[in-house]
Amino acid sequence: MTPFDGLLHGLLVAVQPLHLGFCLLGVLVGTAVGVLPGLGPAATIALLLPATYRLDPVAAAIMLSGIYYGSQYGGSTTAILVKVPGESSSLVTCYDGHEMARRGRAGAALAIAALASFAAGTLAILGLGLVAPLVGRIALAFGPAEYAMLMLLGLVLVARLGQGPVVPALIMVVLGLMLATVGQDPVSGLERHTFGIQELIDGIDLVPVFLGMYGVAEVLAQIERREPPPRPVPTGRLWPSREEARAAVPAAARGGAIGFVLGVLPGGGATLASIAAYLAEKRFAAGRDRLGQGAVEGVAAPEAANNAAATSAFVPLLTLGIPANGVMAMILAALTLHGLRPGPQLVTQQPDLFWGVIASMYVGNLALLVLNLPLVGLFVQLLRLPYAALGPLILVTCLIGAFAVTGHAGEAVLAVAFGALGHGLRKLGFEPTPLVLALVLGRPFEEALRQALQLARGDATVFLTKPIAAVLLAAAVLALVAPLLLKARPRHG
Amino acid sequence: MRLDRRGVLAGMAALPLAARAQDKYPSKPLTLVVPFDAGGGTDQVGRAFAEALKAQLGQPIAVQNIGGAGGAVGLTRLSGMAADGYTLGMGGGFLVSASLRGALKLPANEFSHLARLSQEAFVLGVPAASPLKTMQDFLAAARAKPEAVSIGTAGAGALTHLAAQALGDAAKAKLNIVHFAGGAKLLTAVLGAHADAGVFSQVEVLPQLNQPNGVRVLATFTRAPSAKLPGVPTLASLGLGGVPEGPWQGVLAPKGLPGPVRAVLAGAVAKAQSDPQWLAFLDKNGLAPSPLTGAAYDTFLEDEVKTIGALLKAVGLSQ
Repeated sequence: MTPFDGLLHGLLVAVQPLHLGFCLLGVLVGTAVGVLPGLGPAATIALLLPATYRLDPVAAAIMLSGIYYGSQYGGSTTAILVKVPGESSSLVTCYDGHEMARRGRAGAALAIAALASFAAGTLAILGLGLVAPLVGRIALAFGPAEYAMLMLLGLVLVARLGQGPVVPALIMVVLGLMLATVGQDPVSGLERHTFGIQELIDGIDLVPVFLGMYGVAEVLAQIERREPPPRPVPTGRLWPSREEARAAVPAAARGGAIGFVLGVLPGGGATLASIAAYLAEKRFAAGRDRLGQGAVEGVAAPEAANNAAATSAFVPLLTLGIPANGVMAMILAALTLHGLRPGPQLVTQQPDLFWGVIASMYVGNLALLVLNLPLVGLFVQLLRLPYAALGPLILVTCLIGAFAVTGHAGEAVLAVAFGALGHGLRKLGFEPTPLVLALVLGRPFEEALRQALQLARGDATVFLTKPIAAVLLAAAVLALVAPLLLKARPRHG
Repeated sequence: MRLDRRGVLAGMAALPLAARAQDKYPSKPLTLVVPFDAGGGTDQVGRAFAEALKAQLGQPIAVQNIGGAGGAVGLTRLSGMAADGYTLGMGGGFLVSASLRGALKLPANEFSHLARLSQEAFVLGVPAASPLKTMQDFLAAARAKPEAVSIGTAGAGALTHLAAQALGDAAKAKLNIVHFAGGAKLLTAVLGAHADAGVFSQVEVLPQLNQPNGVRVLATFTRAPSAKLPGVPTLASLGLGGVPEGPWQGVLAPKGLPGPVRAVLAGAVAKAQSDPQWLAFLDKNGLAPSPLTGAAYDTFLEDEVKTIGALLKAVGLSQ
């Protein structure tokens, strides 16, 4: 079966009423999960797994994938409106998205996020259908050494993310890495910094941290202000202007391409993709000077990237049977419940599943666009709420979101603690984003670094002798040093 | 006030039945606590067994996932629930391990162990293109030089770790044991030939067999050869003893079940274990039925505490 025949066959599978219905249900749930801070796709899929028990496996896979890529659409909504990311993959959208909203362009930002998501998602599906068998092997070229250096590059880039000076950002990265050491040591299995608390053995959960650092801290900051904040009332047209669209298209294309590649890599995922895409804009885009001050590129690129990554993350699962991230692991579990074990033979043995799921993503993305664009006008109205109503709403949503992850009340307490910490840090001039992202990357970085060294029997030159690792290490060093060198040289003009 | 699903269910069920409190057990729905998040191996076994047991008891059984700390969070929570027969839980090798490592602050016998249910098979897998074609090749390479052969596990302190340690001890070779965060990451590392070998659950490698870039199985850890892996030797047949065969699962309840309730449950559990759908589930997922109850089960548990305890001590995770 050629990829073209396959897609056609898949489309026939996807438009069967049962499959169509579950596809729509999936993206609907996904959008809601994305909008709600805290509740993420992995937790939602875990909750819904038992319900798929009696479904046919293709319908189950279609619905659960819909939740994943659907959540990438919704994650930007709260990031733009109230500066609380709905998903960790929309963290960087806060920068320019919320700035746009403050200037009255919330509608444009939301529409650009939805359109960039749609464009990147759709093109990534095409990539998934056509090149999946080829690019699947890329995932295997990434062993611990390569992965460790990828994470290192990510950590360096994170420090260069914000607008402020580098040293405070690096301090936040280190603090984030220190928090990431809480839990079981990945080599010895011994507990570290858990103080005998059972719930800390698996480490500090990311969700209460980012809900605290963004949501709770933001509310605290608003309360402290004497006068009510200026209300970001929408100005001008609700939809993006011609200039805004012109800037968004190339940014979305770049972000989509970066997202597709990073999504395929094990552990890459949507969060890393959105960070990388934002940084690429900051370095290379024509409008890089405006980035951080409400540039459309700063919304289009990361939102395109996280959708492309959410789609391409299916490549290693469907071609090799290995999940690239936690959500893919849940979908693997769902298929296993039905006795299906994805592996290299999936395409030939289960063409209905393979092509049906891929084709359903076209349908799902179209449905998401139709669903999300009319919601833009509605969401913008939220900004008309006085802060006396909006503030408590944000606070309650964040605390429920933190609690919902595990059902332990301790997680909500953790969110409040990190809210206070985030507020204090911000007053002292420290940005919370590098800390949160370092907490995301810290654990996989430590694991990969120590695995690589152990596999090389302690020989640290392994990072120089493996070509991919060496290139990534060089890029990390360059990213850290180059801006300092450029600054040392006097500017022209 | 804490209000959990079990409490609500129990409360709802109790209302119409309050007048008939002396009703025969079971007169209301049951809860099965799975001390892991939904989707994992123990969760799947628990859900399949709940279906089979439901048919025997004639009452619905709700599965409640309480994950965290390798099963310790859920088991701790379960130990504080009422021992009235309406709350059951999933146990297994992880319980013994969590208890010996101190994450679970209870000894393994602080539960009413009803029956062992199933047994998973560990296998030793290498990349399909590996020069290690047979177990003899593997042993020769491992014995030639300390840490010459790297072997991946699904996590520090996991049963795969203890099995890798025991394999090295039995082979009188020092293996370079490297931990990965879960079976999927381990499989990725072995498929990419970043690690020389890995300890897998049989079901994880079945889709990768006979593929040009897949996995080759050198040996199974179970005493009996695997029907799904014809021609693959067992470790025992190669003279390598004392290696854990693989994780097992069992069903338990909080300690102190009333005698009559325990008798009803034991009967239902025994019958459920011959349910054809349950047996089909086990077969499909590469698990073996391994029913064990009563004194024989208690002896087995005592042996587990001894062997797992010795291995944990060997890897420095228990005093």
